Amino acid sequence: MNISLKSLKKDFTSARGKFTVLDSVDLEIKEGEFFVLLGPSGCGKSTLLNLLAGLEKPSSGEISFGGTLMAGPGKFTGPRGRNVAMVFQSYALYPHLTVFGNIAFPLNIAKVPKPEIKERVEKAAAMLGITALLGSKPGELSGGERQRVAIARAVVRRPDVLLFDEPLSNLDAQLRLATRVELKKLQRELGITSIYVTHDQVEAMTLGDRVAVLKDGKLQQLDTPMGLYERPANRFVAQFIGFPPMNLMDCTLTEEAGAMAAGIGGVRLVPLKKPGLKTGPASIGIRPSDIEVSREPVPGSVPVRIDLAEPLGRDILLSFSLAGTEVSALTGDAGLTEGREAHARLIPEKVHVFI
Amino acid sequence: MAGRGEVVTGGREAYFFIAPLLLFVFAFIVFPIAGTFFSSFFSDVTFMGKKFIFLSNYTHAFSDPGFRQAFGFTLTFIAVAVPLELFIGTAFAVILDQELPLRGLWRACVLIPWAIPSAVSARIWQLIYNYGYGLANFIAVHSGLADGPVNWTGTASGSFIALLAADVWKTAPFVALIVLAGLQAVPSDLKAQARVDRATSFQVFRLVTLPLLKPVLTVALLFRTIDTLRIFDVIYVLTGGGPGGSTTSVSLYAYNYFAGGDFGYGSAVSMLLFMVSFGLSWLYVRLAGFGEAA
Ligand SMILES: Nc1ncnc2c1ncn2[C@@H]1O[C@H](COP(=O)(O)OP(=O)(O)O)[C@@H](O)[C@H]1O
Ligand SMILES: [Mg+2]
Repeated sequence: MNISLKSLKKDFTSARGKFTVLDSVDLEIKEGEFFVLLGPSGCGKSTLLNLLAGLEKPSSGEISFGGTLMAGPGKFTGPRGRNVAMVFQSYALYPHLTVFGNIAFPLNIAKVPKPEIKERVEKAAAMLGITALLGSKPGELSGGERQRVAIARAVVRRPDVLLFDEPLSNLDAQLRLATRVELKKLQRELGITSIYVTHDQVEAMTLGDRVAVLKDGKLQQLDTPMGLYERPANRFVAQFIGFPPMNLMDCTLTEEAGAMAAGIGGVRLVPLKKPGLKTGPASIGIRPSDIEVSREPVPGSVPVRIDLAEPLGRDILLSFSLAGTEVSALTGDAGLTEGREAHARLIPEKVHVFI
Repeated sequence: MAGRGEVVTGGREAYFFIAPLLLFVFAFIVFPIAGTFFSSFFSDVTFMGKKFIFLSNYTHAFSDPGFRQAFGFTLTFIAVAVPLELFIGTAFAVILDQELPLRGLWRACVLIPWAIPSAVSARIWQLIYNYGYGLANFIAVHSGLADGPVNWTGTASGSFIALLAADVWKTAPFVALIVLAGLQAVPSDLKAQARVDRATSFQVFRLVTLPLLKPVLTVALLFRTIDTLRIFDVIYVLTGGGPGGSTTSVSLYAYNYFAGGDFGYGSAVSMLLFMVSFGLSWLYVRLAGFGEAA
């Protein structure tokens, strides 16, 4: 089911006054898409999911599911009127019910006949590999098992929309990786429109068909994972996506004989090829992998002194000062050790300019 | 070895620190109970010789119509009052758990009846049930529920209802208080999950909240049962156990014997009451899991 959000706004009123948690969010989520909402903690991700589930009412704006208005001026449909399933960060398993009882809960509410409930619960349990746990209580399960129960309970309903609120954040690193892969496969298999919330950019990049980056309740950029990586719309997205994070440098854009270039304090750093740039102060961004560090000077390089060389395995992460700004670069040359003089060149095609 | 020595010293010091409490418990709890137990084996009536009769007071109690009456009344009262207290208390707790304006004020108001000393609240109810100028008759007559003023404490059923109202009014707030604490311990995620699972508000309460409240309700049930078993002050002030002994509780029955100077029989009745209370308290401690080492 496709979902459309129009100028969605949510304010909370507390003792300290009114503050806006979500501000004019416009989104179109496609049928069957795995859509990821990425943003730092407190940016309003859970609030947006609660609005989609119908647990909260928007302050203004519209939410439509498959063309039907769910929330808008003078209209609000609660969770009972929406076929939306949700996996909470805490998993929210009913502690007094068995795993079977938990998965069967939404079917019991929907008054599905008992034999069909049994069949569907068993099928969902088999799909998630938790058949052996059906008789256990949630208190007896590990974090990973609880998570599977929560997912089984969400998919057993055959919902129109699946919402995930940071479902992997309580798992250890190894399990998180394995579950991520499974989740993606499961979603592909079921083809249910899914909205997945996370603060982890790697999770967002690997899972999402498209990723919306949110900060302070405002939509920063909406693109495919590679689109975000290659064409970040602003400084925030540039630094949030990719590891090691992109270098950002405050510099001045100058023009010499019709050619634009970026420099810092009289040092000419890199020629700029992008059209439509104006002279004056700006920021340039470049990923550590897009800075070439060599032992000998090359055309366009700037001399540097390596402050720190951190081996990451295949690559070495170098830190040095480039015209007064701390930057990092990746190299494969193990000879570039701490304290050495070297030469850094920014690959002009890879430079991002942020005004 | 040094470690062991410290532990032993620690144990001795612990006894030193709890000694005042132990002294208190012995002086005011263990000693009176032992004394009552001892007295219950004697025929001990003021101005008459004290005589050891062993279990005769107890065997007498079981065939004593007055004791049976008191015991029956106490059980009936528990059976009616405690469920009513739990129901009303829980209902108030659910209301107070909502996002209401001035929530703090409402909570404080509901607790007032429980904070008033029983003797004082019993006096208030005595005024309410007054035949000539009481509020109960004012309402009964003006609303047309009764043809004329009702002599509340004059009939067995009227007395029972009067006591019931006074007791529930006073103790339902206690239930509301502990159930409210229980309600606030129910994770909001679970309720949100149930709503997303398309449960109605009532289903959320019945299928999620109520099962999670079970331990708290069990505690409330046992507390109220033990407390109602000993019911005395409201009855003493409101009906004095009448009419015709119909509202005499076991406590009041024992008190009447003490007041009449029959310490032996009064002690035996008190001991019977104590044993039932003790059994229930033991059950409570077992269910609440206090006895177990942490
Ligand atoms: N019910 C609420 N009342 C008041 N403030 C809230 C409420 N829910 C969330 N907030 C505030 O809204 C902001 C965003 O919260 P949330 O959506 O949970 O962020 P995220 O999930 O991205 O970490 C936070 O500052 C939080 O304190
Ligand atoms: Mg959140």
